[in-house]
Amino acid sequence: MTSRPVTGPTVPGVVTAAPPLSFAGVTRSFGRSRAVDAVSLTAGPGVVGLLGPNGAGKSTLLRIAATVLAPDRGEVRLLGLDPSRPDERLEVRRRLGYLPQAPGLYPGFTPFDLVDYVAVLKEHTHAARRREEVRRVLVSVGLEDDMHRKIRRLSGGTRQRVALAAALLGDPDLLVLDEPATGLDPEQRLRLRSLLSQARTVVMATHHIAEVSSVCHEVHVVLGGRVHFSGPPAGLAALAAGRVWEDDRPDPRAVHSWLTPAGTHRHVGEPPAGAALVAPTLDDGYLLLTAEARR
Amino acid sequence: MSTHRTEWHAEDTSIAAYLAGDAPPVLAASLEAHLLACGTCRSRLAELDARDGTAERDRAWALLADHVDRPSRSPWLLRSTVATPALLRAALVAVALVGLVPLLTAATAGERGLVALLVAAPLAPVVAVALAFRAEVDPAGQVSLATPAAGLRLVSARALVVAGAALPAAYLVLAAVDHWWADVPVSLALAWCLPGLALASTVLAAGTTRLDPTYVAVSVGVGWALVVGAGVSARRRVDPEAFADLVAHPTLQLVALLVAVAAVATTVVRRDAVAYRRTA
Repeated sequence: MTSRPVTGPTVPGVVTAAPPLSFAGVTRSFGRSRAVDAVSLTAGPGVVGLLGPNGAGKSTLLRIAATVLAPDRGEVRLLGLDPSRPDERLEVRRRLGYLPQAPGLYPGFTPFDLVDYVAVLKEHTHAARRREEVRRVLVSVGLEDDMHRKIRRLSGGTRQRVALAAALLGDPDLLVLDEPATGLDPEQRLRLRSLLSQARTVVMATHHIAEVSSVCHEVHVVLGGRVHFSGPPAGLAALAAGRVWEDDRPDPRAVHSWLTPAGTHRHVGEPPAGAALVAPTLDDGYLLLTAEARR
Repeated sequence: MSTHRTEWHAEDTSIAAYLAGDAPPVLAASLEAHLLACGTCRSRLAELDARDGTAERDRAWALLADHVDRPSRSPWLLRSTVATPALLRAALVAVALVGLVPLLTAATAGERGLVALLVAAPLAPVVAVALAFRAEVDPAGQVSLATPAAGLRLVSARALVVAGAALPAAYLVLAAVDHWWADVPVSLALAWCLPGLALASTVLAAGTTRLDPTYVAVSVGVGWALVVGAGVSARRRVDPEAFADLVAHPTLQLVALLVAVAAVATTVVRRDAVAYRRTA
């Protein structure tokens, strides 16, 4: 995938729109552990991936981006607005869709009733129009046949789609999705990709590198509460340029090595002289980055 | 049959009326008889149906879908509170704690048990407020926290609904005790209001800080039990009258009033912290 500019189009004489999401020195601790440590980043428009292992602070960053959590320190701007100011936060929430990591939907509701309830909280006051909107989002995630069954009778992937439908209500300007592909089968993942490509700005956490390469315009790698890489996915792969090689035998000097299905050993790290270098992938760049961060 | 020749053909207006379901029965019946015999009119019927029928059908479908997809009619506030069994269950537990446990103690321990009942009653609103803060009680869980409605409005609405359900239940238990068991001083029912309000609004105010409202509710409950316990034991009498004297005492009432006012004021001033904060 080709990368596209991280910031909006710059036209001379025209004020460039603020980036949909911008963090400056954002810190948030829980007790003694610092989940997010002085993170500064700007993101969007387009699909933005936060990539990192479990517990890296992705969810905390997303909860701050969804106005659910206030940072201890630092400046947050969402759609150019400051969520620490009540009036601006209200405006952000009106234009925001959030899919939490563990939505915790009440199982006694049907998807229709549940999304309708969220629509009420999102100030869709006109009853007939609200119903139409609820139907629209449920159909868009492929729940037309299940929308009147109790949530407790639905599979995990289907529940995930219910929460996704609630996030899509009102066609938000900013979609904050925490692991949106969890529990989805390959076909549903494809559908999710096409949904995401229609949205204005999507910030999503994931630990699937394949997801990043298939949908994201930009990627931020989060490790230990800090951002270690920001840029297009191709840039992440380029980090490993000249540092990936293949050999018949495992090489103990490599940072990572594994046996490929073709029967050769693929190595990431500092290549020995005369090594057969190969083109790096996103996985290689990510592995190198995590290995270097650990050191 | 379709080859049967006929000179007469149905009027377009009749066919349209038939399609729309507006044709009188006699006309509809004769039209149907004619359509069976006349291929020309059958194809005319199909044409008119294709031209005008779709809008009509769409409207009918929309009406049908509207009817089928109609969500339950209960107001959203109730749906966000009582309709959630998690919350309802918790409210019932609160009522049970406030009413049944001391009632059982009263049955076995006589007047001491009755005092326990009286001590526990003002804790009903405390439980209500603590529950209202919990994200699990929301049908949409965490999703709700990012919506425009999130914040003190939703929390206090829930607290009011649960307290509104729990308090009358507590008073009913009290009335039952008074009627069948032992005399409950009437002044107590009124004397409860301020301490109950003070305790509950303390929990509400704590919700604007980083403290977990559940722990605060427990602490407040223990504190209340200690105060009452100390007061009653200082009087060396454990009976309902002594307790009523204690609770209705002007000092206790004044302190409760001050605490309630201070807590409510703190909550209002810091209301933004409820909308933009989560401990976990």
